[in-house]
Amino acid sequence: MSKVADVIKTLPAIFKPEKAKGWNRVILFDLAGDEPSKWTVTIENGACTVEEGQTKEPKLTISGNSEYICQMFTGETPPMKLVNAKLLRMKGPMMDSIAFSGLWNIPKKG
Amino acid sequence: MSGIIAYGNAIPRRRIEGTAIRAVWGNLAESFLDMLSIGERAVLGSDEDTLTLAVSAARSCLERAGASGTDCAKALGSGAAKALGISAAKALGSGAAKALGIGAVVLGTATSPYASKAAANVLKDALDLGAEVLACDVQCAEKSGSTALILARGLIESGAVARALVVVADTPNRHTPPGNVTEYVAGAGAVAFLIGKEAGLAEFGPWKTHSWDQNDYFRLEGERFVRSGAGFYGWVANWGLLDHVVPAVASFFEATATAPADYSKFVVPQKTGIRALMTMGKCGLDMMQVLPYVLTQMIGDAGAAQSFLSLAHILDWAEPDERIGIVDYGSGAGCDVWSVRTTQALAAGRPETDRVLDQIDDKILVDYAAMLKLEQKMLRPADQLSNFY
Repeated sequence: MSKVADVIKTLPAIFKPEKAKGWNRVILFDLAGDEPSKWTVTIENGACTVEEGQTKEPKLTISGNSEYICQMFTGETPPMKLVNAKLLRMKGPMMDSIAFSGLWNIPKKG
Repeated sequence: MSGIIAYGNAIPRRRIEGTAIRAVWGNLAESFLDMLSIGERAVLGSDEDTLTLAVSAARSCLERAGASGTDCAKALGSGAAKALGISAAKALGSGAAKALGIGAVVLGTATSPYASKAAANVLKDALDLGAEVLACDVQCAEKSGSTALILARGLIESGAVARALVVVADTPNRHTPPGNVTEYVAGAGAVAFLIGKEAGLAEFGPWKTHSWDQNDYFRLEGERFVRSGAGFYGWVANWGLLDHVVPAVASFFEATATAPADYSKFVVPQKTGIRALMTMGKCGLDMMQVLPYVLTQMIGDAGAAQSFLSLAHILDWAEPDERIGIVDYGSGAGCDVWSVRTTQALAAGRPETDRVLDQIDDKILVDYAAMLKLEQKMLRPADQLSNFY
């Protein structure tokens, strides 16, 4: 099983910068479950950076169990399926929540 | 052929959070804030209105035109303005219109400070553009800007004028009553486009329109505040919006023999986030063509200026040779659809400071009481002489 730290640290590598020009946001992962932790993802000027902990005031907060975040970014489960099943919750403007899911090259499985 | 030679934008610095409005009125379920993508919205300063915002955007546009190798800069000499320590447009003074070849100033707004007087004339005088320049207002609800642009393009493409200054400015926040749900999003802003026969930074493509009378949001003569009409139903169900946007977009694609995938980005109606999502879904647009360029969660709804701010934001970041679609809807006014294709000149000609995102980030948060005062919604009796008498 993927460790959430390993998964989140790969985000800059699977980020699609061409989709995020002019879309500057701070996103907080507030995770419970197997690996309770907080991660701050900053998207600014087409670049993505990740820091452990809450380092900035977020515009969008994604909460849920760490294992579901792993499932989302490894392509095991589609993001909207996890949100619709309320396994992941997004707090912030709905447009930002939807746009966020389109910023990543998530591997397709099955 | 015609295109955008330069552009400028103005967004009020003051903002209020949706949560601050909800704390006073409690008239919207908390979950609606996220569902409608309500974040912050612009608040007018006590000395700001449609005209001051229009002048600010237009001055920025003319300065950028002077700095980007147009006739203005040529007439002045590239280093002259810097040497004088003043802007190119200001240095030119009354010669600016001649130097830039501006033959018309068209102001698109649904919130002119005047009921009958031409606000465009005040704007023109503030810019010192000269008495021989045609000035007129275009009022067409939230699509006043698109309609003003289409008319100005007609003047240019027919050869009547060489260049036109199209300014779109709106202040729905001053015309929204306290306690109305639209208070959560009603903002303000302005954009100015200097357009001409050349392709400039972005060349215009064809346009299509679709309109018939529909009882969406409106403001009656003599009244200050916008009424919801059947638009109150549209707040949730988007009645009116989709009746016009869907056929307008379909006829645009048919007339241009294009499909959504031929466009890299789309500007869509965005009074609330739901409107952007509904337009996206019903018109077959991809979420990443639309959502990153929606601004309503950061500044609210700037009325007629909203789609132009969204386009200016795209131009701040776009690559050359991108085709961008604009879907502009006005309550009771219908829908205009048009497009631009960015040129190689965009990379060198676009602004490096005071971009849309710079102005969004440069903000002062105010509370509800301050907003009421600044937007002149706490009125004193007309015969009150001072704070004490």
